[in-house]
Amino acid sequence: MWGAHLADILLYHMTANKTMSTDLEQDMELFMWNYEFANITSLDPPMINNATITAADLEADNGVVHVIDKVLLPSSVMYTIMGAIYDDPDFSILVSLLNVTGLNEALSGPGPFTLFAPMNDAFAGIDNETLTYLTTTEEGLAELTYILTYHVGK
Amino acid sequence: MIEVCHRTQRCTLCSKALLSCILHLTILLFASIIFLPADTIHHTSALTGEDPMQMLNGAWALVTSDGHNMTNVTHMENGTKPMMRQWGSDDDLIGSLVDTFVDAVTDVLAYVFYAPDMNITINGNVTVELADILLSNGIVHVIDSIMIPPEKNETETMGNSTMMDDEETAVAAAEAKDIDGGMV
Repeated sequence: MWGAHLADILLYHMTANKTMSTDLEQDMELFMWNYEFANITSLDPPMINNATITAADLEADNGVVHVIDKVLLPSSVMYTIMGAIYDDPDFSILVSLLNVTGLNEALSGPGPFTLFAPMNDAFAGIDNETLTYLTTTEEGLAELTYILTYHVGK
Repeated sequence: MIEVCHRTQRCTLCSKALLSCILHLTILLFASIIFLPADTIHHTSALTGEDPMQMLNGAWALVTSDGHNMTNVTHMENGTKPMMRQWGSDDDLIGSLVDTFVDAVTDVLAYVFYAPDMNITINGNVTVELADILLSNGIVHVIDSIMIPPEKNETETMGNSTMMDDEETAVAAAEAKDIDGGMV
């Protein structure tokens, strides 16, 4: 698992095309090889995300290197599973159910976990009566916890 | 071996999918040795329980039958929450990426393709819409319906639990179980 994270971090430091320091613009978004954007947050001094470019335009025959003073951190490092789905409107029902069963704390913890995250549409077939039963009664909560934990691999 | 096939599917995103599939297959054979995941993480290919060669065939079929959809890419904006449902399809970008990575960091690039078109199903009725979203404490797969666990006192395992005709049936069954449980 951590090999994938390492790859993701390294790829977050690389981008296609040769971008010289003179090509940089304020708030420019660079599309990195891990499919996330990095931002030019300042031109003086030149900064990418929260890292300062300490030596720029070291040219090589297949590209250019800029030296930075910090490791750039992609979202795979910045966010936990719970943190990633928490504000996502597509997962609001799942988040509220995880909260009510207390599983949100587990999914914020160290893991590693595999979460199968049903989107809101997945809950469309459940009526309000069932939802109330699942979220308010003791038996219902036990059922709900059982169902939700079936979506988490550890 | 499972990991190899897994990444072969991911590479179907590329606009030059067929070519890069061959390249990836070669390269990833080595990458898989280095980056074998821990048993605790279930990558998508492990879920299907399919024979690796069948997985491979599926990937090839995907390449030939649905070439254009493969440019879908998961964008995750830096400094914001990961946008799991936001797609982009920038052909030029993908093209330039493919051109560059073929002779560059190919051994690790395989991790970064998020393939929404993998057609992976679990228990026959749940579709994985978006796979392998890497996060600090694990992996998220986005699914389109709720997975119904087998009854606690049954000996059924996840792998051979009852197949539902469709999502509605599954949900209805879940409700029935819930209500029964409540009555008792």
